[in-house]
Amino acid sequence: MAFKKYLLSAAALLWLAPPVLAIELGEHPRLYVTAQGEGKVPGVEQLRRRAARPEYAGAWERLKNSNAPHEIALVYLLTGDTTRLSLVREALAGTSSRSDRVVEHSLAFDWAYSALSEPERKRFAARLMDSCEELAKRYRIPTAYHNYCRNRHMGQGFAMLAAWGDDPRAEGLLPPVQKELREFLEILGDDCRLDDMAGRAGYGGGWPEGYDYDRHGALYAIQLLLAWRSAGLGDYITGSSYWRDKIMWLLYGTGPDGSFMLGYEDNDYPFVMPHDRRMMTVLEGELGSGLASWWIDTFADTLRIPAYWEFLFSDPKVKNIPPESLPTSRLIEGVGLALMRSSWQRDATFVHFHCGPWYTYHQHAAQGSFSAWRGRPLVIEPGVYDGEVTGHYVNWRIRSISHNCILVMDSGERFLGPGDVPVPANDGGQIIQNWTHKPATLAEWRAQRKMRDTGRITAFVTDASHDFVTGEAAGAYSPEKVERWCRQLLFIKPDWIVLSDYVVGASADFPKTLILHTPDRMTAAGAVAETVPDGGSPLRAFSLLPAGAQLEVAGGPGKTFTYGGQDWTGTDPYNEQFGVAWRVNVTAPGQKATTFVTAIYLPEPGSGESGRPQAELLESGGGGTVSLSLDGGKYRVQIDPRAEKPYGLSGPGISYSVSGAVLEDGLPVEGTPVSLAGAENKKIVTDNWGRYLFENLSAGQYRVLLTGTKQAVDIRVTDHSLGDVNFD
Amino acid sequence: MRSARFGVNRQNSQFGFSGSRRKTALAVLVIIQALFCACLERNSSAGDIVVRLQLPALSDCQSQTIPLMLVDEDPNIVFCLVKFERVYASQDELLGEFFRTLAGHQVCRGAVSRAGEFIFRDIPPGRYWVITSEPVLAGDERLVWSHPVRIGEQDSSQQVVLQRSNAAMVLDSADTIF
Repeated sequence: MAFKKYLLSAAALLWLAPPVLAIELGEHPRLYVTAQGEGKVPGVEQLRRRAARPEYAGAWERLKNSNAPHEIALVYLLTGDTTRLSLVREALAGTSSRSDRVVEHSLAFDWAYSALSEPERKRFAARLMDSCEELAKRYRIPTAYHNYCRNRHMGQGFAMLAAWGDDPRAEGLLPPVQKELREFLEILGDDCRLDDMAGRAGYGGGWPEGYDYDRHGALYAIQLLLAWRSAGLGDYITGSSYWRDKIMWLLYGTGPDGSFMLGYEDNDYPFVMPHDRRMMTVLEGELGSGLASWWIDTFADTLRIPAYWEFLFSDPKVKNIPPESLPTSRLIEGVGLALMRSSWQRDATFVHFHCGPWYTYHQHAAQGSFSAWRGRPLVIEPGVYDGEVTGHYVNWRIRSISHNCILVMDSGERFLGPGDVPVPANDGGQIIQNWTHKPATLAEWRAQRKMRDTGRITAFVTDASHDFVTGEAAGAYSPEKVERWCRQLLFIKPDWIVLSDYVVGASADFPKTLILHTPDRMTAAGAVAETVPDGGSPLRAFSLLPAGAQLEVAGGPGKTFTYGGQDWTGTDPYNEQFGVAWRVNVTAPGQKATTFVTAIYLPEPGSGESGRPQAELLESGGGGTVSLSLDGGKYRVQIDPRAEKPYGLSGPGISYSVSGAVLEDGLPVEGTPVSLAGAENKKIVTDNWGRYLFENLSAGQYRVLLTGTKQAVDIRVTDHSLGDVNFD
Repeated sequence: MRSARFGVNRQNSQFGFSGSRRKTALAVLVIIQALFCACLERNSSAGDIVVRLQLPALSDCQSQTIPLMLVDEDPNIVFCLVKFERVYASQDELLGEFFRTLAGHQVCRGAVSRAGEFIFRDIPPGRYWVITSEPVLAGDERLVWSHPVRIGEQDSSQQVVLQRSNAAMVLDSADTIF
């Protein structure tokens, strides 16, 4: 009997025992640096030689003079100088609940390891593990799409790698850290079929929380991935499209003159910051990116980053490559963000259009919104984000009404707010998702896609002369209120935006209103609204459809955040946020289906009043294609509001493009030569997503062919660019 | 402060010693006083939460009543904790554990019918959330609500209307979208 019990308990123990951990970490140093170095991971000797090179002299000098424990430890590692290690020991004796501090302690522990006694190693490793427990209490959002998760993940990952072998708790951290790493990697879209991108927010290099929280989310992620690789656990950077695309996300999101970075979603630092330089620095070194190098020198040269980061990750050998040879506009697919500019010159016009899925907190109920800048902000998304959940945040900053969206008013609609604002105001806009039970992983996003699939960009073509983008955003609204909202945006560079909005409400009784916000005072007369700027030409918005739309100017000082009879003014604006703005409300007559067509003239800075630009409706379409002329017939535009037929654009200087992708069983094929033959002959090689683009084409007959194969597609370019000329 | 219930009991005991007409008059007075005291009590320290369901697409196969819970812990925090503790759970397992965990924070239970309303009565001042304690079938969707509600010192009642627009989670199994 006793023997049976023994057998049973032994079997139970075996069954319950954790799997034997199959990983072995190398000797210290193992974080960013190893003794010998290999591939992209620098070795100690390599770094010693680097310290003597003149191009690293500045960073090395800063390192030697640093009082930061981890930088002192790095100097010790490279020089053997023990004189200031007391500062390292002092720091390692403490704990922290901040993950960036835990990373610094981990680096200090790892780099000074050879100088520590055995008892010190055990003691300091225990402090790192104690810090991990503090991190677990502080960062309690287990969501792959959110920066908080990346924050904890980075801290715990670093501490685990540093303390491995010196504190048994480190091994216990491996399963959750590995799991969260897998969850993060699968939202990036690397190595995935193009028809399997649902829920992969990172497809294209973006970050769902916008540019400011990308400085946390993606920057934390790449730090852990660099340490993961140097510790010998796998390289998830080399060959990753996400990190290559990150350069494009930052480059295209930077304003033409470098005075801003796109401020969409929660963002109270809408300008270039040291975090961005850190990211570009590591990408410059990792990928040998001349584009990243050019961006740093052009927009971030004066911003200071940590000395150890510059010393370890920058590569002064990389030559600057300016972006002039790149298309001027780009789609960041995973977040549904079109970043468009008229040229790579500093005086270019910049337009953004956002229509994507909802992934996580810090996103706004603003699918389908856009903004425009030409030397200064022209069409804006006003409001102040200061990190607090206030009436201003819940009822204005994150809501559709504070963006350039369509409102559909069902007066009985109720929204979901936080505990402090349990009954948010009804702006007629999109559903608030910030306080819903958010998806933590790709699998959860897909299980909840009925709610999270708020918007998607269904067409995007770019050419040097114009861009055309289509977004479907009905999914952002209650299905009991909006059945369809198709927005098409035609950007005729650099002067005009034409918007087409086809909106189908669930009831003709739900009024539909198009909103445009400007930083300048506005006036409206008839079907035209225009700004009254302090100097230069005004922005003009021509409401061409629907007939009988009512234009009403609202906002202004003391009234900017007012609607429904309530004022939602919050804290004073700071950091280029807009505390005062005007808006024009274009309200359609009561119909179940409504087409708005709006032409917006974006004035050149400093230009006088000579020649008032005009927009004229030529053909209302009767439910079909709408025709209009701009600038007294200079440009002719046709748009089908239902997006069933291609747009048309003609006029002086207008050219077209042909684009598509080369795929193999749905997977993109990079590096394939593609040729264009016909009225013009061109060659190009596909990018990391298998894409190609031929721009500046005149109308005519063309053949696109895969060089060296018999695969070809014959096309005719008439009055619009062609996308999706694909090979699979 | 004397409670309304204590007042009623005391008056009832007087009522037991009186004769016919006076008894009736006293009884009426006692009832009025009891109601008045109850109202005073509610206005100063407790309120009602009226829950209504507005969901045109409510599925026929959904049971006639939707079970509700009133909880005093933020369901988003609970959901995050459940995810930390159930690292490898599926979406359905997470939901099951989420509802079980919330039951530990339950203030009271109820159920709302398709076209009717439910009232959580005499709820002390504080922050609460109205939870549908199982997913609700509506068309091809399964919906979960976690609606915040606050009872202030002076509140007699708060209304919570559950709609598609304020659902906390919508689940389905559609195809790939991109």
